[in-house]
Amino acid sequence: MDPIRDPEENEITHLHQIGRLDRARVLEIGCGDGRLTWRYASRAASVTGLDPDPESLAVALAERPAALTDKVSFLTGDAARLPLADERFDVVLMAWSL
Amino acid sequence: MVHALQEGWRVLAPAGQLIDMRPQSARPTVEVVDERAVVVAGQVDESAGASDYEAADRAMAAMVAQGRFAKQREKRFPFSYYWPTVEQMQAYIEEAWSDFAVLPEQVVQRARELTPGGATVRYRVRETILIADYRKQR
Repeated sequence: MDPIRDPEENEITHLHQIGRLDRARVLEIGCGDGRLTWRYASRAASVTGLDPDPESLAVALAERPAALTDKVSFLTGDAARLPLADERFDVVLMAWSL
Repeated sequence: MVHALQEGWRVLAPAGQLIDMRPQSARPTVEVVDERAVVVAGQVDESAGASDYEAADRAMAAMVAQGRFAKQREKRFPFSYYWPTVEQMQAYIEEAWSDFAVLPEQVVQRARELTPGGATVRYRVRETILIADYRKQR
């Protein structure tokens, strides 16, 4: 049985305190199934979620809220070889992935 | 890890922000929680993953030393996982965390012994998370 994670919402609270996410172009490295992505994406200009596991990304795509369809996209890939152009993002979030 | 950080640096706009958020403790606590009290039953042994924590610290420090990033600030906060039974907690840790964590049997037993009567008891693993703010340099 999957646990209930962080019902105190410490993670998202501290991310909002530290992160300059408002209207930012965000790359989330190691986004997994999007558990964290959905909690901040509405404030960002765009979010690109990258993960090496296609099964996790399939879950993320399936669970992507309709309101975020145009804002959040996903890529399967290796963080050490990003298939992305230089200087494209305002924020790189390495959440539980370094 | 260094390669991932170098790539993160490359795709960041000038003065862009890198946020490094990850667990810090190799020994998160196992706690029995009800509406009146939180009692520590022991610790999850994540010593098998300790070298990963240290490698991440070294990789980030290397990027700072190279002048790629400058640390702005960092904070730590608790992150908890909750289960309704000891057995569900034990099964999850054995299956999902098997690569890096062990829940000692004596901790499972202690959690059972500490379980009070009543329907609201929960079992949680509580770890410490680091969140650090870095600014891209050059």
